[in-house]
Amino acid sequence: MKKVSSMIKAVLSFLGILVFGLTAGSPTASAAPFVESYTLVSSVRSGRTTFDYTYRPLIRVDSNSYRNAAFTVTSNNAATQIIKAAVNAGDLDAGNVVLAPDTFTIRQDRLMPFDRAALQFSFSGTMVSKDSGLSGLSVGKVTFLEPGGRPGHEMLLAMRGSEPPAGESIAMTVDIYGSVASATYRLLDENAQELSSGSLQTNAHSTSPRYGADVSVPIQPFKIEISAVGQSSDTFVWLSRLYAPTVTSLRIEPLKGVLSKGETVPVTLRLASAGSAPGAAYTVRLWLPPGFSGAAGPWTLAIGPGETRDISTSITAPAAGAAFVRYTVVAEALTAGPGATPVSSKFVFEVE
Amino acid sequence: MNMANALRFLKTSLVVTISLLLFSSEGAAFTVNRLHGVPLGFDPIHMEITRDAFLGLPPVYLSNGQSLTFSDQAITDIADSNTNADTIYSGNPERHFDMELFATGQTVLRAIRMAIVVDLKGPTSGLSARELLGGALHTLHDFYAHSTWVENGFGSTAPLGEPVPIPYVNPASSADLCGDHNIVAVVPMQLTSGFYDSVNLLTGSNAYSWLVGAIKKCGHGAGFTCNDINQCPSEDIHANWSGGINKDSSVRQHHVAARIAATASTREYVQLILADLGNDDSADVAKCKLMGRDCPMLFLRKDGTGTGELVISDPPTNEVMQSCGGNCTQVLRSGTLITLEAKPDAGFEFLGWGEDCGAHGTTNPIQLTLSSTLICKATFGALPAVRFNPYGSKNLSDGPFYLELVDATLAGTTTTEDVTVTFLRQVFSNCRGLLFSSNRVVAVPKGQSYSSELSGYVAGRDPFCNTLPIRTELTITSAILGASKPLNVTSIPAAQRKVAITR
Repeated sequence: MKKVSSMIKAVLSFLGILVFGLTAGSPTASAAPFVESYTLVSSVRSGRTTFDYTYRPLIRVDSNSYRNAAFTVTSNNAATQIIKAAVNAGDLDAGNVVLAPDTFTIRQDRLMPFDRAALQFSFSGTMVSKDSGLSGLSVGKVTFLEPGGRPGHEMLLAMRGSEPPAGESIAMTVDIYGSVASATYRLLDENAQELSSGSLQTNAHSTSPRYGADVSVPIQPFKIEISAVGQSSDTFVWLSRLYAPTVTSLRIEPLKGVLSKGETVPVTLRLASAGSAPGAAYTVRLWLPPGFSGAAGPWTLAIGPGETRDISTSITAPAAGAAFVRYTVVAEALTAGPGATPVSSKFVFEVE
Repeated sequence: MNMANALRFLKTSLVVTISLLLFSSEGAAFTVNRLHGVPLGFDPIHMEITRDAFLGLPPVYLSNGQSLTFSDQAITDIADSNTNADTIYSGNPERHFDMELFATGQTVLRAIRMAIVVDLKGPTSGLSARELLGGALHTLHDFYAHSTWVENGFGSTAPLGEPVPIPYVNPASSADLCGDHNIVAVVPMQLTSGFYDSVNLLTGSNAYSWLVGAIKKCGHGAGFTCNDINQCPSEDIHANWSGGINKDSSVRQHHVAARIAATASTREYVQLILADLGNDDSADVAKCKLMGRDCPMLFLRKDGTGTGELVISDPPTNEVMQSCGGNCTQVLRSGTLITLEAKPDAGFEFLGWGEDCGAHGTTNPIQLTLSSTLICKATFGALPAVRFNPYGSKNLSDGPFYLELVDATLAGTTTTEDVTVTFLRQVFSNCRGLLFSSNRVVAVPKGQSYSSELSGYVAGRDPFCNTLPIRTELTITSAILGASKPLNVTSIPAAQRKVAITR
């Protein structure tokens, strides 16, 4: 009987991988954020044959939002020990792809090859976007929009940066699922004091769950409170993570977004100050997904008020792999000052 | 107004009227809805077409018969990826079926169709497949918006995701395919799409057309400018990007027809992918992933020495009514309330649940709400059978004779309930042979292996012969466990169910 049971477990294990895919680079199907990839931050020799490697995870959030999110890293390979297992991910809003503010560290015996599949990430966090009341509503992702598209097809698309620009009026959308009678938003400061408010509009002739409003982004950190009234007259209230508006923008400007396998493409990282920001020195680096290579920095540069500085580099797509795979490249700029908010931006490449 | 102008006016009015009916706001002036461009309600037409197509898809059926629809979140993922394609593929005209890149665009759609299946069969969440699908649908929608398919009435949809050439494409065409304002192709049965390479922009009255080599081709035009001077007399169609054949916005001719075709074609493409996935458990998992549904797996396993089947149903819908002949797996929608019943085969009994269903003990049937992967194991055991001990031809002096309870392996056993045994009693005499026969019933008390002695059944006298019967045969015909559970007496060899007692 034990043999049968172990066979069942083995089958389940295989199907579990099929269904849940618990390894980084193998996104999970379960309704939880997962570590899409992780990139090397530093490496330090720690023994005769061992090195300590510190990585930052790139997290893809599912259709729910979470507070106090964290990942715990475990290894199923004796050659890979976990030195720092806990990765604090903070607050995660639905549908986002975010660079974790925290890192994890492993100790790898270099006599053995590093196997990414050996690392597994378990998630913990408090889900906040699901309706627990009677409204039947739930809130999906919140997105700020910026001009995009192609010539003759200009439109507003999801902003590439993770934080909205301070002091600007910008279009904001929020997906609200369920039968919505009306919806409003409020921008709140860190002490829950209202900064501004307004109604959320939708296309009454569409079935889209997308609601939107033009909001004036404050210069201070803020949260977005969404209140939606369902057809049953019950109200569903949802609170976003804390946004840190930035006066400095960072963009990834590749020559093109669709690459052949092994193709190298020039990429410009464009750091721009809105003008009101004081001059600052930034450390800029590129976080490349597994399989990509190229000069990723870090680069150090100073930028004055109103200035734009470009960093030219190039990246090379993986030479092998499945067709039509999308990879998220993240750029990040950090100032040296204490408590400084990192500026980040992402770009999705497709490798055909 | 001459006849041609009258017909044109009628046609234009019809399109505008349909557009108004479909897309305008109540009582408000007609406003432009765009395939691209800043959308009304942040909802561009690519997104609307995607949503319309998916909301109109018939339910998808898992292999167990349970129906499934795309989740709203999944549709949003696909629609967003569709919309974002204009940035990701801004330098890829084949991704928009521009510049007559029909074969290349179709190759991309077929390749993505395969890539989606590969992605879904792997250890992925389904999100990457939805993103791939959204990008492919952008290309597919653009075929109808950017080509002259609908103007020429080439049929409802084109075989864009299939290994069949797109009809009416003539790669060697040297014909001028554009008429005035590029709104109607003048060469019938030839397909073209818009060009936007600015170096070939013509000037003057042909400013909306383009030269490729020496051949005049249609311009693409901007999605948010009018292409018909009769419809938008104030618009300067000679300006760069004006005119053109695209049907990206509701101010453009044939927009509604392109939109209807794109919606139908979207459904066909999705159906192709669903068919590619197959119909087994792994296909069920893949479909759930694509559709943004959480579908836990229910593993049903059997244990013990007995046999039986596990029957799963989901009343009151009864979409699922499956019987597991052996061990089996079910992929079910998350949240499905199922009824699970262990049905032992004749001669066997259900002894209880194990693994994740262990808490239900011996309750049968049980109800479960599937929200995560579960293993449920049912243990079946053999019901005790009944035989005589000793059996065969015996002399009364060999007694006593007992009823013995045995399981299928003929090892001694006891029961947790009383067993009632019925046997045929046949009494034979010297003078008349079979003297009489009748059924007799005896109980084996709960917890005991043996009944009381049976010698007493060999009694009585033959009144006609005035002698004692010479032989009494007892044959077990049936046995009941407890109140009503029949035991399988036939699992015991016939010789062991009979004893012939002589004097």
